[in-house]
Amino acid sequence: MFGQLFLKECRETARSLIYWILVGIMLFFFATQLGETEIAREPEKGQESYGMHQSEDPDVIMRNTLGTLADEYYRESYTTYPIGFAKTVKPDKKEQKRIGEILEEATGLDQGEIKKTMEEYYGSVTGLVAEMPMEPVDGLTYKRFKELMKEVDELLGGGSHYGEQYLAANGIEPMTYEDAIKEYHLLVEKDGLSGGYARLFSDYMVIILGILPVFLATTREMRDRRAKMQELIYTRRAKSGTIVVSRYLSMIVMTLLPLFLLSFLPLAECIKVAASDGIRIDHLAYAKYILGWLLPTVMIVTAVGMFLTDLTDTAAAVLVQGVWWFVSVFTGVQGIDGGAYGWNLIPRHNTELNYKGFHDGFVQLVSNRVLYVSFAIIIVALTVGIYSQKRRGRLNVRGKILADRKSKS
Amino acid sequence: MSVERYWQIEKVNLKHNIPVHLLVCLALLCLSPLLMGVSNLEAEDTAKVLEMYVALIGIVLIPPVFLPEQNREIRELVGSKYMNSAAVYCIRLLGNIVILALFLGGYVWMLTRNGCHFPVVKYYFGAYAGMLFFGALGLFCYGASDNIIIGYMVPIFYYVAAVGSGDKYLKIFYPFSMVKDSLVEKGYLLLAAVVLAVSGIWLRSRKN
Amino acid sequence: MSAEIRIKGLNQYYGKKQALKNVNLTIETGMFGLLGRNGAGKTTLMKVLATLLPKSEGSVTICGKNVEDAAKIRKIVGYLPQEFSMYGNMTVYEAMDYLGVLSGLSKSQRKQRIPKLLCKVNLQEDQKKKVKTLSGGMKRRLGIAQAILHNPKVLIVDEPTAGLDPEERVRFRNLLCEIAEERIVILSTHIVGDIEATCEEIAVLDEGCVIYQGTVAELIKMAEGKVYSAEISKKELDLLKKRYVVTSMLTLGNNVMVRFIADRKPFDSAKLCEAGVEDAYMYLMHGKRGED
Repeated sequence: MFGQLFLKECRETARSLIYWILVGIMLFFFATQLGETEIAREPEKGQESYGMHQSEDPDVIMRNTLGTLADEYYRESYTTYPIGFAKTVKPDKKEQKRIGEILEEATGLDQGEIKKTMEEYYGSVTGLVAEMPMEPVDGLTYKRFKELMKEVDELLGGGSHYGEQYLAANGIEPMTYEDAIKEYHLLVEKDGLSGGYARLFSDYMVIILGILPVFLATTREMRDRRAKMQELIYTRRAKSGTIVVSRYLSMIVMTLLPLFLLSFLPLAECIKVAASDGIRIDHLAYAKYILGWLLPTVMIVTAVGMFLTDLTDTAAAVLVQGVWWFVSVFTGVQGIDGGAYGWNLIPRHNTELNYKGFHDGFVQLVSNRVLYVSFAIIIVALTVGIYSQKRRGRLNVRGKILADRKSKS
Repeated sequence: MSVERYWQIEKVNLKHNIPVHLLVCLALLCLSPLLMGVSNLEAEDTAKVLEMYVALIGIVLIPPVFLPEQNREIRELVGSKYMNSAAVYCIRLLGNIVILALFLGGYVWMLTRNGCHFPVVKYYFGAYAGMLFFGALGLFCYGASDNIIIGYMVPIFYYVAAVGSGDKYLKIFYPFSMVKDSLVEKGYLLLAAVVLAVSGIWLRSRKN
Repeated sequence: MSAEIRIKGLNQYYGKKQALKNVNLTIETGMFGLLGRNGAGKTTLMKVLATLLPKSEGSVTICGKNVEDAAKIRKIVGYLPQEFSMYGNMTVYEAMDYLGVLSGLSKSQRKQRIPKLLCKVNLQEDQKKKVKTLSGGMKRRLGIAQAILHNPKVLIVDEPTAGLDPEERVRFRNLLCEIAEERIVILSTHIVGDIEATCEEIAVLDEGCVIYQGTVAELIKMAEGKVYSAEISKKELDLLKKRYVVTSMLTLGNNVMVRFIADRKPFDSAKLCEAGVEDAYMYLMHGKRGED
């Protein structure tokens, strides 16, 4: 029964308008975001620019960060980005004093000297100014520096330039030829070329996969009520688990299918370039990333959609998922170049490079993905429970029972 | 047509059709200080909050205009009455956009009270145009497809496309132009909103 | 084992409201009719039997199985609700096939049974039509077909002929009779004609209570000697209506031919009539209860 039901559900999904709009959106998004991606070739000497990257040089990071800190300290106003939207934080006297002490320790200058330096700097330049970097004091270890900055971040309520996630972003600098070659070799040797591009593909697609599946799930769960077919299904022999899980799996499969098909395009490009440059590529890279990076997001979003729709008999799932997605997308902007995956529904890695970030953040990423898969399974189990109860006439939010309870009888 | 009858229809709308949606809008607006800064913002950041967050409540409040008659039988029953279904939809739509204007007004006032610096009137109308556009887009899609989920999905995707590709493809219909202090696009969005809303209502009220 | 439904002391509540009060019924093979006003509790009773409502109090067994064992009951019960439809964009055959899968039928079973059933309900020509294009009568017939797809021992049909034209109704009744030959078919209706034509045993529900259970013949007997007809003027009509339960009126020029229920002959021009099911039902609902 399960297999046949699964196939029927897949077929019904393929005939629904909403599914094809979904596929259209995926295609459009792919074409507009990834359509012009060119597969990297080995960088040549003497190029004008090799792009930007996050400097790993602690000195650069420290210098830039302290400069920003001194500037905000001077103006007594700090900008934080808890979800990517700017928020101005004005700390109280005690907090500001502590930040001053931290600055003193980090720069070796006392607060008076810092203020003077800033005043002079602002006094001497006109028009738009870039922040002036501040030299760290001699002997300041990077470890201590990070500790101090973490404290500042906590004082400011998180999301500031000084938190772990943002810190690396303070050290953005242009890549040299040597940097570019290093990145290229990592891409080719560790990522098998296609791995890096598969990662980029996943990065873009995960953004829309954080919300699109909820529409499919909500529509499917509301369809029985709309078609007035619920009772005909409820009274049948099929177990609630069979019904719910077959629907769930069919939606997952149908959502992943266009992704697999789409991935052949960039994969073909990679194969072409690899052949001409004599590189060995990972043919299964896209498959691995679709299953490892994208599938967990699809699973949890679909599960949430089914669960909330079955529970409330309304489109509330769209709202809830909409808010979660919104927060996830904008929070993810901070770590957009990868490596800072955290527990985000939508892990970002907006470059085919930065293998190092991927490698360093790999354990966190795996934990993240496993967590969401586990949650998805739990939520599906809960959905089966709800469906089962509704079938027996309990939990009917829109039923006569509740309505009668409300009225005086 | 008496004004009294119009008012009765709107009263039913307020009492039965949209209370939950109103609550959701209020909840989203009240949630914003937790998610983002709403104090002491400069013009650019204020525009961002208005265009990229507050405008979304248009999607919550406008597409549901058709929802009470979702059931075909109800639609037919109501359609056979003297008062035109299109008139009913228009009354609800007007009522809802007045409420949106009020919510937006309250929020903008709150921003000014919190020390944000921005051209108030300009940004109010800019944000309102964006709100109406997202909502009308959803309304049109709902009317065309008879599926409210699609009515929610398309405006959300429009938003995603705008965030993702900027104004490259959307050009004069780019919804986040206020951040760059350009309000020309808002005029086009308003026009589009009117066209979409009228078409959506027309599609929905046609007798098949 | 012959099919039998036993209901003992069934009380059903919707929050504070009691929908069924101490219902005791034994239903055996054949057509069983459930009569009653709207809101009497017929649909509630049927939903409890079909496992769509959890039983509040009492005992209900179907073919020896407790109704709370939903999985087992669903195998042997087929249900056709009063209001239903199917996925509009599916064809008749596809809808049947989908429901067949949910009923646990194998591919070969479905391939064999569906055409047969569609023939039985006279929908074989419309197999490829989309559900949303079917007329009311066709939908109902499809409804019956899906309800007996898995060959249930018990078929529960809620107001099946409401909204059907007379020809459709007759066809439907005949179909149900055929089906009832080896099964229990519980039919709820407030179209008395349905009962007359098909059921031997009936129960009448009123405000959640069973106020009658027995054969149709016995019901009619109750009203024997209590049904009269007379031709009266329109002016006298209101007065008559106040005193007696009128079961039919026919306008003849300035006069009206009425049929009504009275314990004894009310006036000379009244003629005693042979009681029909409808008269007996009306007597039961108004006349007899008035006595009690």
